[in-house]
Amino acid sequence: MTATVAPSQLGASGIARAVAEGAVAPSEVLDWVLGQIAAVDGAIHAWSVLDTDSARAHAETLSAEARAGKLRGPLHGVPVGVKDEFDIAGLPTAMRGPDAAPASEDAACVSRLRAAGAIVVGKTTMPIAGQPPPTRNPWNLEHTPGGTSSGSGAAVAARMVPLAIAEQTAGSTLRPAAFCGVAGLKPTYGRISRFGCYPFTWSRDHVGLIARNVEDLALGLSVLAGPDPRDPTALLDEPPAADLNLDTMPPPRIGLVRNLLPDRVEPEMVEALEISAQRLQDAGAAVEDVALPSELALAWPAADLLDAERAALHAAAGASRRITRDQIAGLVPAMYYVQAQRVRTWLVTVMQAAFAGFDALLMPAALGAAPQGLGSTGDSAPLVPWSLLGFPALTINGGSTPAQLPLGLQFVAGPRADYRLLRVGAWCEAVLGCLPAPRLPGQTEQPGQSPVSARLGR
Amino acid sequence: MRMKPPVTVDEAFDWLHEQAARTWPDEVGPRMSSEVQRLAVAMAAISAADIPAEIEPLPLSLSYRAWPERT
Repeated sequence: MTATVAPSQLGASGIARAVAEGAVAPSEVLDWVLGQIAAVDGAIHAWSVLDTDSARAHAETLSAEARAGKLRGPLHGVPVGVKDEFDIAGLPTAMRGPDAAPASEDAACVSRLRAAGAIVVGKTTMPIAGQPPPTRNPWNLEHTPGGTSSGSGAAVAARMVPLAIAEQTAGSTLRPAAFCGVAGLKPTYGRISRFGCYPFTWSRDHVGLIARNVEDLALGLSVLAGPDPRDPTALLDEPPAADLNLDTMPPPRIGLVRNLLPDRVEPEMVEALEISAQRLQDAGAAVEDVALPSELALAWPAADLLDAERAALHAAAGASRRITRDQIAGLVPAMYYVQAQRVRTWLVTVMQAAFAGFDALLMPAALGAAPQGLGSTGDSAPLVPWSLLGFPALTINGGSTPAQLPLGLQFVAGPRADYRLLRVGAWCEAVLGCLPAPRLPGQTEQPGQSPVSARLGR
Repeated sequence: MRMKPPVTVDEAFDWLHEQAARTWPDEVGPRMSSEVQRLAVAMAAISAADIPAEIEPLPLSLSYRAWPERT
């Protein structure tokens, strides 16, 4: 083994393979990760808490186990970040408020990561009390990384960790992933237990993942998904396989959606969608136009009315007397809240026709590239319907603007079709490619010149 | 607040704003109006929706039963 490892090009799957093959020790991987954080996070601000001592101790244990031929699971030695909305035992959860006591136990997703051998490096930033974090987009420090999983998106894009936990209520996983030029997955509602996740709402919160590529998302979901009696909304389905078996996969059938917010999607995003669709078709995918039904226009108002859940949450938590957007949603009459839920149930059924005959639908993940400034984390509008309906959605890179800001594509599948969606995403990612690492302030080594990469021939 | 016949945005706004001003009298202003407007637009759209009478407000996991695929 060597102490000069820079596994920047490997991603989570590559690191896991390298550890399993004995090419690198978990403690070496962590050293590189902490070095990268030290080098670039002063400019990016992706972390709210670094749990360095605990991570080092854990990495040493994992290293000893790996030397003895024992691997805890498919993420043995892989460093991960966790959005500061999830409990990590011994650390306060920022989302619970400034006076919150340290969590007494790990969130379900954190405990599953640890059981699989992952090293929890720390907590990633997010807006707190409506205030965006100081986190910056690694592609351009003057632009937002998106949110609310701001730190998770920026940390993965800036090669500080290969995998991070996120959460999406409206667009908070796919938007930062798209703005930061990496891959993001919001699985079917209930696919990953919400236990230990401080809620935005109860009925629309999804535990999500941000990673360098779709292969890593699949690996992460295979570890995190599955039933959990502590979350009554958790699906009973077993986790999907990590192996996407692309060798046996026929070219996907993709429905190209051009009528999602056509008056608001920016020209650069439209061009990226059209070019990407053509490239996928040229590579053998069956790409056909499909129109989302007009009834889907009800998704946005229904989501707004279901924000009454936020008001109930804040009221129960003893919120301050000053009004917030969430508290105003408490004025929604009960009849309208129930009607919004009925609309959601109805739309789940109505949408079957649009998905029939397709493996996934393709559309923009955002209105455009990351907006300038840190005062807003951007608009979640193209993502809201799929969070409302709980359908699985995934983003991969769809190119860049002339100003070198990433543009994200969104793929959506029917409920519980997470594995199919991941296969489609991986197939399309293989055609379209991933963005290279952004050039970061403080970066002395160009990502990609890793001794581990060279040793493994990747 | 009635639902049928559908409410207009203005009707919903007036009703919501009255509640908001009564609840937070010191914070009547543009920010309150902006948030109330968002909800008023949503209420008007939902009240105009014509959905089948048999639709129940199901949890998502139950509403997925109508979908055949699980892969």
